[in-house]
Amino acid sequence: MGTESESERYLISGSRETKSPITRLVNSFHSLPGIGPRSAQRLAYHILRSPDALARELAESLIEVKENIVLCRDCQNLTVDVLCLVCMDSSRDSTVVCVVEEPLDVTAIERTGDFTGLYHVLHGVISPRMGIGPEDIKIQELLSRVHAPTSNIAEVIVATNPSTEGEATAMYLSRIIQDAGTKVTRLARGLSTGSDLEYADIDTLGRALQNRHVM
Amino acid sequence: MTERRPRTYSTKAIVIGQRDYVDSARIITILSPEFGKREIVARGLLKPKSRLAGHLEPGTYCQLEIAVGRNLDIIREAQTIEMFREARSDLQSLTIFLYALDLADKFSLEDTGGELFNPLLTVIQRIAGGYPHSVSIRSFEFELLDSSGFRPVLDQCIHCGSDVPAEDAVWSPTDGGVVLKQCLDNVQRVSSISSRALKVLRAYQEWDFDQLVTIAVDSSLELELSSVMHDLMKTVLERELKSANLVEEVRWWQVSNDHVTKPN
Ligand SMILES: [Zn+2]
Ligand SMILES: [Zn+2]
Repeated sequence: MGTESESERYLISGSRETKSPITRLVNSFHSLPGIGPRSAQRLAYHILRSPDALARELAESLIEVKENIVLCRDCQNLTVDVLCLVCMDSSRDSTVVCVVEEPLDVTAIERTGDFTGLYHVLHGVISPRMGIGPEDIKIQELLSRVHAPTSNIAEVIVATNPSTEGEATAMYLSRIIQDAGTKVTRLARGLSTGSDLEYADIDTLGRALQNRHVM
Repeated sequence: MTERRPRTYSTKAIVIGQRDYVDSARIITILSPEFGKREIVARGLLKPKSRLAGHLEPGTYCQLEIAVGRNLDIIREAQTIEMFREARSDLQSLTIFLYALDLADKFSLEDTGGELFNPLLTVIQRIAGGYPHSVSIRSFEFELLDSSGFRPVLDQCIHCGSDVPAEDAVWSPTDGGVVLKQCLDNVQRVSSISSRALKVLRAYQEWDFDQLVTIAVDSSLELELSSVMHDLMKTVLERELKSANLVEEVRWWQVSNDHVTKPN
């Protein structure tokens, strides 16, 4: 990998023994997605300087996550129960389902406060070059939901990222869901191409949601 | 003596794809006529206000200003030359577009493949330009096979070398060509091929594009041709090609839609 020597610079320096606890922690942080060597080191030293309680809380929550977090039976978002808090909330509008790529996108849309329907988390996007086809993300689960005899879903909002792969996924979903007779809408333009929902500001995202259009 | 590399360089390139990197940065795979396939970092790309945003989507033809990095080079400026909107406007075009990019990717190694730039640009222009998708993509496949030394043998038996009449041909993707029925036992994997599919493939291999677009290909023949060629590409590359599977899945919908009459 191209980042090796940059990693070495940040990960190994400051520690003579390669297995020192701090190095282990830095390396653990660095193994996480989106955490570069610099960030990993910053996080590790932050923990080191923080009160013991923070470290204990972090360690316990890490273990709890691994032991207790499952995918929601209905929307595939992360939850500790059979159903997530959104799916359990009977005041939410169950006729509208908003489809997103990742759990973090649910958080982003919830922050807008504009959406009262339910979600469906795909856990990825169709990306054939990376070996990810429709069968590799939670599309079948979405179809089962839409097709279920008890379903009252009238609209599916496709809120995948405004990227090439996000659009391909949206078109694919539109095609298979419309076959089932359900209305499919897409977030309005306004989110810049190639950006990630996760980084969009609340107003822009809220507007894109309100001004969604039929696909 | 250490070789002195310039600190920045510029190139035209087609974006092959992107993948995750640190925070809002992405790693972009480009194909450049001068440098071939290369992975380059685009910092802050996922942020809505990124100057690079929209210029580095897969399939975009762009002008890049690149700084030499310690490991991976870094994109300083990106300017779209052509983003081929028409190729992205419907699912069928888009899946073929992504398949072409995938092929260019899988047929080139790091820092090689510059010779594939022009064929890739041409096939993308054709997909976006309203030419029949099947002819455009088959021509590109044959070009890739030729340039990588996997040109299939479509006239003579790959076992004995005798001429093969289209009616007596059996197809072997593993051996890269046709076999006479009596020579079947001497090749590895075989599958059937219709005589009209073989005749069209022979034309694809020999004729110019302008002539090829005049051949009438119905949808069942088109599906056979794509499945034969996709199988061949996967065999040559020795890997699964999800992009090819997606093209076939979407094409099947279209064809079955055309043939199904609405029940009363
Ligand atoms: Zn749920
Ligand atoms: Zn023979």
